Amino acid sequence: MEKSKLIFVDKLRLLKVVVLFILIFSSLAINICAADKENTSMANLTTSVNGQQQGKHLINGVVKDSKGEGLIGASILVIGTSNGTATDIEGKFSLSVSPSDIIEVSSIGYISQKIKVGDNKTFNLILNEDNRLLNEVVVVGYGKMKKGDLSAAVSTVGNMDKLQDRPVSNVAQILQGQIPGVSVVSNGGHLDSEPTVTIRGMGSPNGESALYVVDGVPDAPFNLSDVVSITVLKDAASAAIYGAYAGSAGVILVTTKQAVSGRTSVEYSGVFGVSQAMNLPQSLTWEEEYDVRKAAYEDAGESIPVGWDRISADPVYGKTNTDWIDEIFRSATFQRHNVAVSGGNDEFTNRLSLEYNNTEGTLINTYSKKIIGRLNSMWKLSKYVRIREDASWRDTQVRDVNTSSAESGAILSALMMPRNVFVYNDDGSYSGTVPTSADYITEYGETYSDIHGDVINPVRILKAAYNNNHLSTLTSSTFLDIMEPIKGLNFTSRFTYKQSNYFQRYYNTRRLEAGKPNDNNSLSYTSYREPQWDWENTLSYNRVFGVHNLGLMASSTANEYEYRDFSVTGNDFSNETESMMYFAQAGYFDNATDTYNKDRNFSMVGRASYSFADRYFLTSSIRRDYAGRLPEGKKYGDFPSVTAAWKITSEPWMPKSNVLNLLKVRASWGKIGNLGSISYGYGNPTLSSRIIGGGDVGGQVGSSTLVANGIYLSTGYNDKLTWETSEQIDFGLDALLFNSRLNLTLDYFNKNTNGLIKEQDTDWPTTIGISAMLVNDGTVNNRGIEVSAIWSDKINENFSYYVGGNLATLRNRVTNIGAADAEGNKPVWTSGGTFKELNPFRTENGTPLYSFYLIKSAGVFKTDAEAQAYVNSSGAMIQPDAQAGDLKFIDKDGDGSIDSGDKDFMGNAMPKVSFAFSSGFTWKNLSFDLMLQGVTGVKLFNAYKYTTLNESLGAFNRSRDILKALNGPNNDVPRITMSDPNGNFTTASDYYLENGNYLRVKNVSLSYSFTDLLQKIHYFNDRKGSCNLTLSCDNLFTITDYSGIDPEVGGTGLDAGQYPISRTFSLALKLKF
Amino acid sequence: MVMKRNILLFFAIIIGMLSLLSSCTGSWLDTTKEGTPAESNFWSSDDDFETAATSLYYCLSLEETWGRNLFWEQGASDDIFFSRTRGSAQMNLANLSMDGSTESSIKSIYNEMYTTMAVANNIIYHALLIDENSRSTIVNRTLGEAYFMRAFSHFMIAYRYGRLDNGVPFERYEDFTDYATQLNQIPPQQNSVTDNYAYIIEDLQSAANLLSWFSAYSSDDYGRPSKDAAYGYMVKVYAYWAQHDASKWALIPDIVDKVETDGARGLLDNFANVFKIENEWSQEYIWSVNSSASNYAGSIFPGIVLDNKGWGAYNGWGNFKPTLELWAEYNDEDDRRSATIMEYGDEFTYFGATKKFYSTADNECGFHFKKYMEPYSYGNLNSSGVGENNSYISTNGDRPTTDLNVPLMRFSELLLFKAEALIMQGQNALAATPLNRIASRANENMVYTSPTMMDLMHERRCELACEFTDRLMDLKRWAAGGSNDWNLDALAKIQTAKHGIKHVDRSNSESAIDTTNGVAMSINGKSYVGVFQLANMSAKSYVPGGTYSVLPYEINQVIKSNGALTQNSGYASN
Repeated sequence: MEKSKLIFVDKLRLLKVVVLFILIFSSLAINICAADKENTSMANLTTSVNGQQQGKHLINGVVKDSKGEGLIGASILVIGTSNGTATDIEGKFSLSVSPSDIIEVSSIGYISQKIKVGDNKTFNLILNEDNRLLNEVVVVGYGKMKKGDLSAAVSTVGNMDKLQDRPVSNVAQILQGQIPGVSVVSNGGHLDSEPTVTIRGMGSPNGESALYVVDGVPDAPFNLSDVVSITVLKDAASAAIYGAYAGSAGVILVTTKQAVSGRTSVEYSGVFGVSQAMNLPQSLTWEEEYDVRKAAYEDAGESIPVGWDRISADPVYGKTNTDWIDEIFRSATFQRHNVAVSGGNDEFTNRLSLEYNNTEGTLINTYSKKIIGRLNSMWKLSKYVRIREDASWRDTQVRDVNTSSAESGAILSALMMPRNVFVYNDDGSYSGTVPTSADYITEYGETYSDIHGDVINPVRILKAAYNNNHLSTLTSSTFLDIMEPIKGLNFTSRFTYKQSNYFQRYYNTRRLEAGKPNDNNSLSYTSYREPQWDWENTLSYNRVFGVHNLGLMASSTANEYEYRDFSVTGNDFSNETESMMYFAQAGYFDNATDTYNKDRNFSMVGRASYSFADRYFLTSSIRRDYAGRLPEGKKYGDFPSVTAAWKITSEPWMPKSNVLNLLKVRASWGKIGNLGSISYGYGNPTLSSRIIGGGDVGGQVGSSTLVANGIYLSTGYNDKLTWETSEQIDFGLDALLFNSRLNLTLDYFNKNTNGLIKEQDTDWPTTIGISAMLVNDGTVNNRGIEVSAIWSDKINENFSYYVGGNLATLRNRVTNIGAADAEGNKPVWTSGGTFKELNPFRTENGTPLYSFYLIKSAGVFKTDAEAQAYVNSSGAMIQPDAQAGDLKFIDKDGDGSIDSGDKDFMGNAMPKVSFAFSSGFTWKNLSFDLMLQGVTGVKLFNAYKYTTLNESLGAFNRSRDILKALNGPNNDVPRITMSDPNGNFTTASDYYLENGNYLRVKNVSLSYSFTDLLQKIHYFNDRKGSCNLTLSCDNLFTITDYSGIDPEVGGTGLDAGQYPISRTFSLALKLKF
Repeated sequence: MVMKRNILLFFAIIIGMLSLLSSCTGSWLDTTKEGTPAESNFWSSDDDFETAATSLYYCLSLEETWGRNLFWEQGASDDIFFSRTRGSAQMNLANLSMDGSTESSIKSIYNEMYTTMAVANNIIYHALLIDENSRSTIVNRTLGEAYFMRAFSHFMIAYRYGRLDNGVPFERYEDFTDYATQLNQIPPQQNSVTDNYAYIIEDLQSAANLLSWFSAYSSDDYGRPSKDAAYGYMVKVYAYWAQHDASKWALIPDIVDKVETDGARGLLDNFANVFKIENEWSQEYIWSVNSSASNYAGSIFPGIVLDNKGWGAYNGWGNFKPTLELWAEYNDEDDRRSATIMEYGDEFTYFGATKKFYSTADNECGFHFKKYMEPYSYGNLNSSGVGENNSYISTNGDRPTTDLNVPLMRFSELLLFKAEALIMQGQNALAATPLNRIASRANENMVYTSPTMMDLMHERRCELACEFTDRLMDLKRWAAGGSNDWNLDALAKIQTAKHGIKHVDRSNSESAIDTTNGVAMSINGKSYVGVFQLANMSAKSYVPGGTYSVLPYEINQVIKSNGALTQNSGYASN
């Protein structure tokens, strides 16, 4: 008995040591501190009021601050009237009021008070300083922190209320222009892709991806209307806590509304809008196309093919009948509705939120529909133990269309279709490029389909092919919280299970019309299932010992991910009615795939933070990630960080000042990894299989059906591959000035992304015969300065306003491109994208990533003589095939001819400066907000010109811009020629390069609060009901020199035609009771 | 206090679990990928080898290879012109003004051939790991196929890019000492193209040793290379090699005889019948791209040469047409002319109906190739003039394959090489026998007794027009020989401007020749009226053995090689 007790005590002691060890060794600081203070507090000085109205009487008083000093110029106003006064130099005031009046005492930088007058004659009031901005709590990785105590570069989007009223459907759209250093570029208006978020410059050449952590759960679905705040961990020090999961871009933390105790409340918010595509191109009319074709034939010394004249002679088909652009675009609607019910008591709270989002594309028949349901509950089992559950289900259905294909892009096809034909034939079938009616053939004998190139009716592309993908994701996160068994000690165990199911159904009907016929139909199913779980255990300890504030956190996460997919295509359906497009009706099947992947990871994190007397702040964290997908011996990585800050205004020697409310300088260093840069199961190299036969290729063996499965080694394997990492230094300054009216943040960062994962470029020509293996090679440096400033002020009870702006500079350079060859030549990268034979990209040591490397042009030759006079030293023409209207290329290297030696670096698509400006005011119940956003230093490669202005590409209709070249040489459009011997279009020259700078009025909104009106009704008054109506316009207009549809091209800046972003007018309603 | 103790205990469990997890992470983290074979579990059965062999043939049916792109080169020959306007990606090839960065159409051929070499190399490497005596019949056949395809793809690169002073990159995995490392290294560039030819011959011999004669194949194995094909290409390699080493001519006749005798190869009686679906595996077959309409497998070349939009009935691409120069090469009696080319007013069966030829194509020349037209003769035209009910052609206009295989080598080419080899060795009289077999089948009223190179060149051109036998390479190697009449003739044919015949109304098959806009001209000693120079097909300069006698390596590949790949002389390397 004695012995066992002893052992127990020993064990306990051991345990204590272990706990202590863990606590010290590990980590975490972060005070979960400072509750939001109410902006206004109702101080009811009297408990009973005489029912009888009394006459006015004079009241006197004095207003002081918390230190007892009189406040000068504080305003005293009788609410609902213009009756008011201001305090004098000693803070004294007097005012004539009725006992039933309520007066409001306010002063900038202090929390205002409302006081019922009653019978009181004398008022001694103390106004507390408004430390809202200082005490604002910010969510950081694995915890929360007071904004004023932050020592890392962390930015928050706070005014979610207003942003949610915009017709947006994802967080990326909301982020645009909100935070300096966070660049958001729309990939056009595509419904299946969110805009690309890049934090502090592109480091990974494979593109950037940010990790979204929702209420502590990575990649959990959420309702846009439920979002309370968004925090972006901009520097590596703050993101390092997520280690290899931080991704190449960084981490975005999303906080959503949680269940709160109290009376059941209902919230509705909805946005309804109408969108229209802007700045659309237009194609030539039939008559204009005739002129252009004729000019092209004349240029070649030929007459226009007879078909043109024959068809032009037809009374029906010999004129312009269809506006294809108009046929494929529409005014589209946008809808988002959210209903949330919340309530509970101290022991149980619950909140249900349902959201429906239906975004129609501006191209006909395209849409994105989302339904999200979320249930959030809390059960308190005891003083120490609490269980929380957050379950959500999201269902997304998207129907999008390809716009960038040079062969079948929807918008390009609309530009390339001749405009004399109708959308439909008489029998209701889709029309091809030429009339095909029997009458026409009887009359003219031939349809002359060869006068047009291969182009598909764009309405058919959008309507007849059915391509719908359907993704459902179920997520459940269960939290077990053990709260302060020891003061300051908290433990949370979280288990998340998530499963995604994807199903895509794609069918293509037969296409028999002239143009680009295909007498096949097919139906493809693609499906995958992704179950995954992760289990995270976090221990944290936060205590204040006098002036010492200590925080420790330790956490571990294990996760498992499974992926199983399969896809197959059924072909040869005899019946094309929609209800018969099912596999059972297929003639044969091909293109079957079936794969399975499993991935497991394990991580340990520790963080320690310490601050002294609210003056000095120090935080350090370390994370170790183990990744199953990596090759043996390369399975783990360490990601440390350290940050420090000095709050100068807290120093005792700093005088308290209303001018300088806060001044803090900070510095940080950290390292993050990019696990996503390596595919699942990389450590287990496999052979590739490809179906030989059907589709694009045919089998060689056999005498009948030539389909077989071939297996081969397709790609090199690198057994030393590990993830990309990036290291970043940040110096920052935060300041609050002029009674907290001006909020200023300044940051300098310097980020090196090392061990870039890319296909081995150098020393891997296609001569090797297998695709290049992935290597860690090279370093990209990004550095820049970010400034954000916002001035907000409240002039009086009725009027407040704000003016803010942010600006970020970015300098991107490849600082180490890899090993040089024996002769000391550094390798170059030629990746970045190609369009037809144009490959405009080149990256060298010291250049920005994906720089444009082009031949410089100098307008077009105005005369043949001018072209002939452009000669080299030996008197030969530098461009032997040039004539009037051809582009003049600059012979940079002076070798007397135009070749690759004349290419030069000409910028890239990354903005050198991004900026945004926002402003607004609130006057009584009305508020107005304006947001402008723009970029400079952007170059874009407008490859769209290759297809829309290039007559040598074949017999297609073209953009109306080509008319400029019809009447003599024009600098915008080279001459109309069928052969383009000068290579005007096939030369990767700066003819395609355009300035992509723009200034966009991103949003204007006007909102009116009906809360006062609503609260006149007792029921709503009782429930603190509120109601708000907002009229808003997104993308009102854009100022740009760019000649393409929109300067937000996305990717590396190669514009091959895109789904245009649209202007949306919307009306939003918010109702809560 | 008890509460706290319990909680501490709880933490202890958690911490214990954490440490447990971290200690077992090693094996716990080991995950696998399923559904695709890995090096470690493949190469274990006959089926595996057969599956691997399938990958060898991926390159054959691509649009980028024998579907279309390889033929762009022929724009520089005297037979072919592009009847739809092209950009510099193709025109640089046609004008012999390549620069190494613009000829995107030839880029994928380089890539596909090296991929095929790698696939073949890997099969050979793994097959040779099995003891020779324990290799099964299937493994041996697969090994033979791999040797053949390695040689075939190597040859395609060698003669296009290889010079006497600069060979092409090549390696054999079986020579590796460290497979995993060397797999990821650039194959060494051979010093001379003759070194490459030596490797190719060695591989073809290995293939010939392992493969059966085609006559022993069952129809299930049709399409696999046979002993016939291995010897056939050996002949072609020697013939090309002979450009640099005349002694190679002597090796050719015996091989051709062996193929004929042991392989039971020969000529069909009627030239036109060679290009019929029913005869695609006849005694004249040596090697072709096996094609099928039903799953649009194989080569799309028949659709590529069909008039643009196929007179409204089918999506012909109308890319290549014959020149007046080619038409003029034939004697009027020659059966091969009508089997190869159509002129205005020529009747042909098209979707079951008789049609007379005309063309309103962008760039018209008055002619059309006929060799691959048989599949289009079936079916019928519907009321809109669109072809239907034809199971011999692909229903997908984006991939217009047919049931007709596209020949890469026919026995008649071997006879021609035999004749050429004999002439080149001064045995002109002996050459008469093989050449007369060709000429007599063509019924061109020509009997050779002591044929010259000029005669050989005439027969070879007429016999093989519009096939993937590489007319341009023939002209280049003939032009390179010296300053004999036939050398100069070949050179002149490369340099010539190309012509067509103009008709007054291009959309009328009966239309008269346009003598107003066309001129009178003598070509190949024959007089024509209404002649005009074809668009973008003007005279060009060419120096035998000069820069443009081979292709430039794509500059990007030179750059990526980081010094390991030497650009051919005269071309830019960056």
